[in-house]
Amino acid sequence: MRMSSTSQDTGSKIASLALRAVTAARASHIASALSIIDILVVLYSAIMRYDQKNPNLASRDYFILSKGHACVALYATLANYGFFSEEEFLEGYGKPGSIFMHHASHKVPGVEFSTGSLGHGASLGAGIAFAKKAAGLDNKIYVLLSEGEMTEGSTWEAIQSAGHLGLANLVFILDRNRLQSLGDSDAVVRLDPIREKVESFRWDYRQTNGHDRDSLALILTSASCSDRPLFIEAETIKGYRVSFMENQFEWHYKSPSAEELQQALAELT
Amino acid sequence: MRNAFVDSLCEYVSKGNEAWLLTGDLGYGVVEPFSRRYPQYFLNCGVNEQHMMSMAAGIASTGCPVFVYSIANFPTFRCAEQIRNDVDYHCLPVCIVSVGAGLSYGALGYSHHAIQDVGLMRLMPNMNILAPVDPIQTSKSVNFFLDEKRPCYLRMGKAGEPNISNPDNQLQLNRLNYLGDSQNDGSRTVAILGIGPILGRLKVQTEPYVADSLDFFSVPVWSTAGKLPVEDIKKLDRYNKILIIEDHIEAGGFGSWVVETLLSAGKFDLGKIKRFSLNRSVINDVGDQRFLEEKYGLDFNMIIKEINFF
Repeated sequence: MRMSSTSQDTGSKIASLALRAVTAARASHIASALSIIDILVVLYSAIMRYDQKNPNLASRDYFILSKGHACVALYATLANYGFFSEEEFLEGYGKPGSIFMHHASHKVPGVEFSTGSLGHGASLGAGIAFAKKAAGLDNKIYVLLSEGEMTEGSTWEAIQSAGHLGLANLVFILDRNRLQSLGDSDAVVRLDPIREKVESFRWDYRQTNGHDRDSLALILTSASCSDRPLFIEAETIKGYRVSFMENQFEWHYKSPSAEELQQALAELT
Repeated sequence: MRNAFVDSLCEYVSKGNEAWLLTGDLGYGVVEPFSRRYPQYFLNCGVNEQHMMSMAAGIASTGCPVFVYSIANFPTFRCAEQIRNDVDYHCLPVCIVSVGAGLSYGALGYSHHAIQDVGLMRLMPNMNILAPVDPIQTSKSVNFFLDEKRPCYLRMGKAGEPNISNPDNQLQLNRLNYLGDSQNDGSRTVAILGIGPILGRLKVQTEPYVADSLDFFSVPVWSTAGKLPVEDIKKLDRYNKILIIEDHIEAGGFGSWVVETLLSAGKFDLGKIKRFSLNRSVINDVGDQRFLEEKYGLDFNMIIKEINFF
């Protein structure tokens, strides 16, 4: 599958929205958000079944952002796909009285679960997948994980359980950007070999460049015949699309200045 | 109480309703009537309470009520954040069922003593606490949750609890539930308030000696945000002495909730309240339930002494 040029532009547009929101709110985690935007674009443009005018549609597919600190990317994506207006998001993000807090909030249309404490999304997704499977329904459940929460015991409880239960309607996507809160992820706690780990828990495994939307879409559309859940290790770049943010872990924390925002936006045009 | 719980759940599903029962690999001799009859709604998650609780939230988010069954502190403290963030914050229909209230597991030790659980669950903004005194109230508690379909914590004893409550008394949120003949309501001088099976045991034990002096009340269902209504506070005000009994550490438990309620009412003479609860030394002791409750003054001798003294 070849994504259209319009879709490719969508990633930059969503990144611009996220950058503007984070700058205005003087918020953190922009680099964590930039690394997942292509994954979100694939899910919302080519994979997931949803109705932005009826976010609770019974037949919808579910997306859970387990790394809730990257919510600005999800909010910007949902705005782009019509769950609410871009203006509502840009004016509301982080503002007193707004629904758009700095971690994923279920008060926002299209957000299934509030997250922010790591290690919850995997089990939430497994629960929905289990209920849908038991009911004979074909909803798919997508959970986006961070590397940091791959060291949460509860994440591995979910992986073990979902493999045992054969939840073929469940997909975990790992945002493998190699940087977490205080530095190199594998230096904090070595995650490899992820493939051997998840396969031993009866999961299917795929690896891809998380910014190659064609490749990711192909994996997501071709895996439906398996009776196992699917784990995708998506190699990404923290801070992707903004040269001075890429692979710089301080952008886990920093908020862009007005000048830095302009420089970043210029790179996205 | 455990059998009343499972029987009530079976009855609900037998009527064509949907409800899940998840267990953390516990419930031998208890869950089988449900798991055999309704395997399509039963899952032994294994020993992984954090995952089980979030998974329950995920299932419940699809619209089906879920019971999460385990013992003592395992479905509460072990997965406190999953309850807080996933179940309670999203106000999902999950009933956390803990068997072994207070010191029920006696000599199994501190890991199995549920003596801070109410304090923890009281901190959850959307949570209702269901603390039945007997199997009758247990069945009503299950039905209360299934009617309300919001987060609940069901605190049960282990086994053998006698029925002492009036089957005709309906459970009402944040209301006193009189344990006895309604004609005597308010006519005696001492009120004993409590929750859970310990109240039933004390009622049975003390009645032969001081039945003429006492009225027993439970509050089988109450909430973090809730208060006793004025009507019930006036009812309590008619007593000369109020004893609050709980098999729980004093801080943060049922007694604390009652006192906070009465404080907010104003003009209530708190001097006539005496609390009987566990102090922190209990964590250093080994013994069965009876031994530990007697040592820490949660037995009928305490009540007899208090009444006679009074």
